Amino acid sequence: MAPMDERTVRIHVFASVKGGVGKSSLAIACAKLVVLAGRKPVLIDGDMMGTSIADGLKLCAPKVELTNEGNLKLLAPPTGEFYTLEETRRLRAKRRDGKRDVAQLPPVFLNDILDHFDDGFADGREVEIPRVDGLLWRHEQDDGVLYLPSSALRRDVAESLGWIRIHPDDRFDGWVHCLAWTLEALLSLRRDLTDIVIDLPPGTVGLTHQMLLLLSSLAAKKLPKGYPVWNTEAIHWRLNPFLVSSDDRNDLLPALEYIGQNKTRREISPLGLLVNRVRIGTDIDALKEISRDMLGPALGVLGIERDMKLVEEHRETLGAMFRKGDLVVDKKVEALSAILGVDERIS
Amino acid sequence: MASRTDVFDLVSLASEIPGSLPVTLLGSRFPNEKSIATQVAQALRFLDNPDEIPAGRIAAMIIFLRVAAAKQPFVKLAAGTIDLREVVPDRFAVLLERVISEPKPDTLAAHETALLQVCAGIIQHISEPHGISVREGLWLTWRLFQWLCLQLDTLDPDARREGMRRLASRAPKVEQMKEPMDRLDPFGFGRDRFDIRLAAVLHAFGVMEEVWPVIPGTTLHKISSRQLEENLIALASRAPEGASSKSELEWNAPGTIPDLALLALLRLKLSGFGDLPEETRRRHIEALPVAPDRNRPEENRLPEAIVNSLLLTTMAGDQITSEERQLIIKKLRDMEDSKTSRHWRWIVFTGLFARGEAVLEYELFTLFVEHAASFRIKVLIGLYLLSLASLAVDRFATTVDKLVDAFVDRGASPIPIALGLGQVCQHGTGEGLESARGKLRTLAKTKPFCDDDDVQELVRFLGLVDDGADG
Repeated sequence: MAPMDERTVRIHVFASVKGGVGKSSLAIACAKLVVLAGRKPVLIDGDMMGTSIADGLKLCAPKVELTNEGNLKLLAPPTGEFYTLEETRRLRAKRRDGKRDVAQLPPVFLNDILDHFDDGFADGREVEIPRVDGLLWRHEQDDGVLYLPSSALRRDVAESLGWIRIHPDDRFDGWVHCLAWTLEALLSLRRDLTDIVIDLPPGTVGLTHQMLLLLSSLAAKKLPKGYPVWNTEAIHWRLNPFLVSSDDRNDLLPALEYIGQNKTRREISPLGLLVNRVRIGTDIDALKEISRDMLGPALGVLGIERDMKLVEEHRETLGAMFRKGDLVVDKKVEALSAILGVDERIS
Repeated sequence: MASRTDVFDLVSLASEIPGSLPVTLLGSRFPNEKSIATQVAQALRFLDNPDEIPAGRIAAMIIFLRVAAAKQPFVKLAAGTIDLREVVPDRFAVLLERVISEPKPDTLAAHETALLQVCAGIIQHISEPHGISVREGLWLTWRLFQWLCLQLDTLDPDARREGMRRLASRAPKVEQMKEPMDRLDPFGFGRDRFDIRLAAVLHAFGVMEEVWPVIPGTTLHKISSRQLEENLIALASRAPEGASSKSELEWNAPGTIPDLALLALLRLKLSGFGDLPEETRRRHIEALPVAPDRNRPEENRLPEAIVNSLLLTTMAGDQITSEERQLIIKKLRDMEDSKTSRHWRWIVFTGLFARGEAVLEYELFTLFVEHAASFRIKVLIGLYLLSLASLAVDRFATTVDKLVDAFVDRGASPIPIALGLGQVCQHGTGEGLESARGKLRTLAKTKPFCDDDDVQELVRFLGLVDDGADG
């Protein structure tokens, strides 16, 4: 692959200890705010545990060339065309009900791209880079965000779970390895791309931790062999990782512990703690005090909660996003830009 | 009396005097859910029509609603269930704007000062020739005013307005009034003198954050809003009103509008001092007391509550300029040496040291040794060590050793020093971080640190021992 021009790419990552804390909503808000800031984001739905932003938002799948058997031709150039919402829904249903041995039916998902890389790596051959630029979805309203959703179909979820295995370099697992190459494909084929927003699966062990390790290594330019050649000055990475939590004690305590321990070990870049969906007017100092109390006398003095940020409830916008199929960027959502560091230079 | 069913109403009414008195009855205001709903509905009605409500009652309602919002935020009213945490901040902001504005003509608010002065004149008159104490006189004045308001409420609106007009016209002229003897003496009231309605509301905003009980483990909610805080900033920035007098009744707060507004602002927003105009901030810093442990009437002293909040704010405020920091250092150093001044120096200098005032290093060492047994030591020593690791890393390890020795010599536990090193391990960088990790690892193996559960938990968490670190 040809060397890239010098460019800056911001990676905004959203992780969480548990599901249902609004991680995907914040990732989508982040992508929309990047557009508002005049940049070009891709939103990668890496939460492959059974839900999909394609189902939550009104996303239209790209038209991809098919083989005579009806399989996706991932290496074919982009058609520049998209299915309607209704066509996308019908294709999804067809894929859901297709026979298990029929692979890669449309609509195309992130799963198909990872699958492509995984098969190639498993065979030990050089993998041809798929035309990811032709596999990106768009919103019905064409909101300026490029979407790469995962599949919520049972067969796809089951398969993606199988990718969780140790890569030969003993550092990152197969899923992360394949995603790294997907990023490489995206960056080389979409030169206009400035921001990558990644919605990670819930949980801070396994995939999520591995992904955060990868991104931190990437920012530090310390990638192992077998990964894209990013260890050059070609790309200036700006990493902006968040751990999203609710203010529930069973969520907040492990979130604080994860942030504290990783900050100490310095394996991953410091994570920002976003406490989401807090009631309007919640006193951040009180929440910090509760955090210190939960951590106990030994760890409560460490100041782990120091950089905690609160995201107040947005019932009419963020909270209703997946019911309405879109996020309306009102003034309150715009105010999130500062909290999410969309406009800041991030290191 | 014991058999009367309106005991609570009677006592509530008696406590509706501007100041801290309404706080004493808070406990009995929360007997059951139904009762709270009734009281909340009434309080909200009062706040929506403040011009017809006496200042003391408004103040009592503010405090009640603040506590209700913390204790029982969801209230079922006729119009549906409301969340007080969402409803109350806006009501408070609107109320303050209403009270700042000129009251509508022919309302209780417009006549309140004159009616209070009539009551004060009556009490003064009937207590002659022997007279009564200031406290008794004030108490009877306010009780008479409450009785008068009750009588006025029984009249139809036209008769009420006419009654208020006629009574108010009998109030003594300013030049006929005696010098006010007390902050709550009506002879000192007036919109161009001491605006009792505004003062009562500001007092309630200040006191409400102090009185409601802390409920462990619950997330608290600020009952504040930008609109409310902006109005408080504007009021706190007003020109000083001269010397502030105290009260024999339960006022327990500053006696001027700007100071009351500042106190309310600092209670609602700890960093609010930084939001004031620089000139106002400087004036307050200049007014820090010279001898905090001695009552020196010649000093134009800031009330202690403001001083404490102001100094804490200074420690946390990003908006404080370098010149202001230097002025604070000078004022604190110039203070008469005492336990209080050293305590203030310890807290504020720690904050300023963290903001790069390296010159405070050695003075702070002494102050930390003196305050080794303070309950604040756990938090402050971490901040001190973190700053030290950044500003003087070459002396870091030896300073920690000297601190440990000094604490032990003083008979205080050195454990907080180890916990403070944990903060450096968490937030430090470069050489300072490595130095802190090495020092903590070493200390943790020695007595008394090796026998302390907290220190051992800390070193395991930080990965400073070979076993027990959670991968």
